[in-house]
Amino acid sequence: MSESIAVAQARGISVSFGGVKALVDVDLAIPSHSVVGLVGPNGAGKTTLLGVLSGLTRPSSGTVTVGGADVTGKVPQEFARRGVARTFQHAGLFAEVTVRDHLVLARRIVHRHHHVLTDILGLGFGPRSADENDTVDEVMRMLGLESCARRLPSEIPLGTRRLVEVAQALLFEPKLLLLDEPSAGLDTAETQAFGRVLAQARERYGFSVLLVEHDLDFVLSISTLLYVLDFGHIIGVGAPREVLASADVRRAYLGSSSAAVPA
Amino acid sequence: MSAQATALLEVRGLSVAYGAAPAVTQVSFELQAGRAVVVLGPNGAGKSSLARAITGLVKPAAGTVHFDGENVTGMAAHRLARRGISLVPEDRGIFRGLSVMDNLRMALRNGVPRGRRDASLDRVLTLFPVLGSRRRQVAGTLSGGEQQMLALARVLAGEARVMVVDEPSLGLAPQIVDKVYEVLRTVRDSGISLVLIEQFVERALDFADDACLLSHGRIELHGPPREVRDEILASYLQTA
Amino acid sequence: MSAYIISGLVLGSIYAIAATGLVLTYKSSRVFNFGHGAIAFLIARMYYQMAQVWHWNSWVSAALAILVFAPVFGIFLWGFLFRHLTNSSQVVRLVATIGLFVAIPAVAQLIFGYDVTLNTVGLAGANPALYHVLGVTLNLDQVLVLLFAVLVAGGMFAMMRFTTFGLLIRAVVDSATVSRLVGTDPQRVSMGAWALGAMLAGLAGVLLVPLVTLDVDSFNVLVVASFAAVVLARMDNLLLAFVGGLVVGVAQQVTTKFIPADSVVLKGIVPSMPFILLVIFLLFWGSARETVGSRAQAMGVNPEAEHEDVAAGAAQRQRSRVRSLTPLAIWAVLLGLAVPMLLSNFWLGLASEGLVIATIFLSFTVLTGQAGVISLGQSTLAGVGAIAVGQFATEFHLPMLVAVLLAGSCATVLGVGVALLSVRLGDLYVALTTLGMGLLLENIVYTVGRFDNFSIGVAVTPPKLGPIDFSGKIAFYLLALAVFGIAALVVWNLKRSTTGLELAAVRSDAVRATTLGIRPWRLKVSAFAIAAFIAGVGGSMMAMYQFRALPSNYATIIGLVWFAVVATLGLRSIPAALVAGLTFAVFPQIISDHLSQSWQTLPTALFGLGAIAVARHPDGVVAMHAAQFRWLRRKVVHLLHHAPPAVPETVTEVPAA
Repeated sequence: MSESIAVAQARGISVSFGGVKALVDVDLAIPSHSVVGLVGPNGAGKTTLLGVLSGLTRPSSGTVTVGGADVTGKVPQEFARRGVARTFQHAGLFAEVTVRDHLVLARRIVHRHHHVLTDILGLGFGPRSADENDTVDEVMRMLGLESCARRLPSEIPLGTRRLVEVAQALLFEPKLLLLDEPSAGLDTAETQAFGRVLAQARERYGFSVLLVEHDLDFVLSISTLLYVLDFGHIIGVGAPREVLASADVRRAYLGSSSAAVPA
Repeated sequence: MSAQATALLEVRGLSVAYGAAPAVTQVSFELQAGRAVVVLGPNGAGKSSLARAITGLVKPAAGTVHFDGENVTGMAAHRLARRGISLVPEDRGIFRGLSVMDNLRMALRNGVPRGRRDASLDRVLTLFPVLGSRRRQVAGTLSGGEQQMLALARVLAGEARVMVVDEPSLGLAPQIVDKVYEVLRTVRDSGISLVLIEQFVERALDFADDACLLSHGRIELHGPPREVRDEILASYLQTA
Repeated sequence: MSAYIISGLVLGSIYAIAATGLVLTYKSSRVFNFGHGAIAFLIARMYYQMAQVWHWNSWVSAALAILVFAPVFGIFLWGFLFRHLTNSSQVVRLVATIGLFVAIPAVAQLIFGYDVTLNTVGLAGANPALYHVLGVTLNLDQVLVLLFAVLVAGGMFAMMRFTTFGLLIRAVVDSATVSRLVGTDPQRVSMGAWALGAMLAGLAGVLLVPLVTLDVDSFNVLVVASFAAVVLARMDNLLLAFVGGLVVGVAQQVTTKFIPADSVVLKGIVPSMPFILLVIFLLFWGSARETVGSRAQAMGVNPEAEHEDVAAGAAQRQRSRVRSLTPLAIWAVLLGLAVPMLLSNFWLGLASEGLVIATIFLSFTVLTGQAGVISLGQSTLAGVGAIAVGQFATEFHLPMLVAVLLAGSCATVLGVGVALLSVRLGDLYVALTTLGMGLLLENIVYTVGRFDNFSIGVAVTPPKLGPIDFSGKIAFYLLALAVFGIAALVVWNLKRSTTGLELAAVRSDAVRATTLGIRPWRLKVSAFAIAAFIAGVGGSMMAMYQFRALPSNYATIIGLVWFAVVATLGLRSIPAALVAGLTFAVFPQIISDHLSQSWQTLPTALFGLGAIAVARHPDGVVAMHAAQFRWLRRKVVHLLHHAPPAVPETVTEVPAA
């Protein structure tokens, strides 16, 4: 349907780590303005696929395009430059950087108005652009982070840390946001709150999301398209509820003993 | 003493936290000798943290673990291993760079008195003939299924009494998983107790004597598989 | 030719034994022991004490030193230091063993005194028998070196293959976690490895006794030479380490043959052969290391994750420092300006020296504190600055300001070159490369007649600015203060700028930083450039202070002591660099004023021990005390503003340290 206007697309991706095949000939397209869910049992290769889409993992074969440009084998910075932002399952953030500075950093990287030389000579310290402050403050307000602006990641709860990751990603003005297990370690209420904030942010900034998640409720509540990964193969794609009802997917999830190996 | 009077492994009110983030909250269960309990739950529910806390790889924040009547809470992993509680972690827990034989020698070294080592080794190699033919091969070059066999073999060789197995079927093709469960059945029949961490519900429920469903670090459901089966399946795939 | 090869094998055997011990301990605990040479020296000194001062039988002495004292000392170091380092960051591990490098010899000299240890005698006695092998004459001491090398090689091979201890080491190296799961305590195995490592260091040390003078520097340089073999072995392969040691030794001796005896410039090549090889090996492994790194990234592994809490704690303390900096800076400037009125000319001179050294120390603040990399070559960069200012100002008659800026630029070019070579390989390799570069330059560049000028250096006269002559004590003090102030401002700007923020991000989690578009590699090279410029300018100030640019004042080993001082007081903060500089200048003077000659190495010993203590307090002494000071100040302010409380007040804030 919307293949032509995909924000990012992976074609025929294979990845192996020392003989172990993590991904085999995976095709995945993320249409613009969509939330795509990616589910599958533990060890199916979901995080590896996120790695491929953010440039941290080089596929052994296949191509990755972001915004129509071929970025296969490029460094993560190149993916970032083209508007791919990501979060990590381990929401450690930068241990020595305050919450607000996480956002400021992302903003300044995108707008590239600094240089080492001007920095050390102290020339970059004119009155801070009101624009930057406004943008940062707006995002902080939207995600309810004002109260912990000057805190360090170790001083705030996990749920808040995940929001900071998203806030940082938003200042990055992404075209595609990759979320790696955002609900891990959150309780149901926190997960729902996270979903609400995400929806709000998408409405405001209009980016696409690829969501790797084990909480199927959460996935179903926000995604418009669902991929199911098992043993490094895509075994199902389509409308979320239909995909989950298919026999193959049920087998992959519940692991009944008579299951056949997916081709 | 009678098996039903005292549990071999008794976990009471166990909590694990990493910094401020709780991973496991107030988990309790008992395990008799020669029985298997399966801990089910989605990714991130705290299953692996529970396994690591029972086997001493992380110190629990609260609660107690009793093994054979002795309080072993917070004891270092290598001491617990010598007492007979051993973990097969998610990534198999073998020495990848060592030969199959050296892997087994490491296991025999601590659990088994010198005189019994040869006998113990023979027993394991009979149970896993494939390992016998690959003694000199470097463990990391074995296939995934063989690595899992080696992992189970090294726990058996070390004469463990409680075996905690984290996701034994992870990344294995279904036929291989069948074999792994066959071995686990033999292990249980030989009188070793099993704590099985699983994601694949049906197979685990078919196997276990007792089942727990972990969600957000807490036990949501607990009971014999046939009683809790439907409820667990429902909570796993709400849409189906 | 065979003569060169055989004497090369003798030297190479010692490198091989030392390298084997280093690789063994690194494998088992992931701690690279920069103090290996210092341990070798200590054991050799023990041997000398027993065999030649107390006149015991030399074999009994050697056995006691190597088989009894060395393992005990190894276990002591393990229990007291290395055991705690396994989970520390790479920087902390390096700082602690650099502390050993500095402290052990100094402590040894405090204990054993300063006997002139000439006429050292080896195991073979005062008149070793001579043998003729392949037309080459060898004495028994040299033959023994070869024999012990064969013994060590065979023994290590047999141990790793056939013994239980060997199996345990291989198992722990393979996976510490799985070892625990099968009931083996990895810490106990690592203790054994350190005992064995100390024995190998001791053996190398005792074998060296008849071959070189028994002083710390020559021991350290010889052991550092074995680093080339360690790099060839990629810190991992014992056999390669051994063979590499032999190769380095032979290469070094064979070079002697091809270099004309009267060539002054090329004379430096022979002792620098190991460092040239070190660089070649680094280049050779370069590409391979990178793939290992990206593989770890691909697996989503975050190697620093387990240190997160420690880092966070450090960051918390760090942040409060930054906040309180502005008032502190104002006070510091006022105090700095008042100093000339308070001090005599003599102490004012020392204060100037302290400021100059503090300027150089700021380069550590940038590199290690901000970028999280350890450079052991900052003293060499300062030396390059000094040499350059001597040439530009005195020989080429350029204005002083131009000369200083050019000197800084020379250091920057060199610093960037080294950074480009090593930054991609990882922190440990950066430390090794910078150390190798230092020793290389020391041998090849420092000895050039034009720079060395018959060991008195090129004269450097402080500049005049209109009526002000900076040769005067007060004027030079103010100049040093101004230069330090500018350097401090640069460092402070860096810290609070976007670049500083990016550096903090990279320090915390480099993988995550790359997904934001940050280029850690480029940032670190920039930090190297800034630090090198500061070191170069500092070095040229030093030359002005001393009125001459004498290269030997910037020896690499001195740089290690400098690093230990800064690490002790705090690598992160500008005030700590200032206090470190002043301490380094003033403290030895106080000691020599008040204590006898035999206490001369006390400051060095304390600096080294201070760096070791960093293993426990990663932020250094100044940050630690600053926290206590702030707490005290709050208490005092509280007391002043309120009536003395009738009931004991509740302290809401406890000291962070």
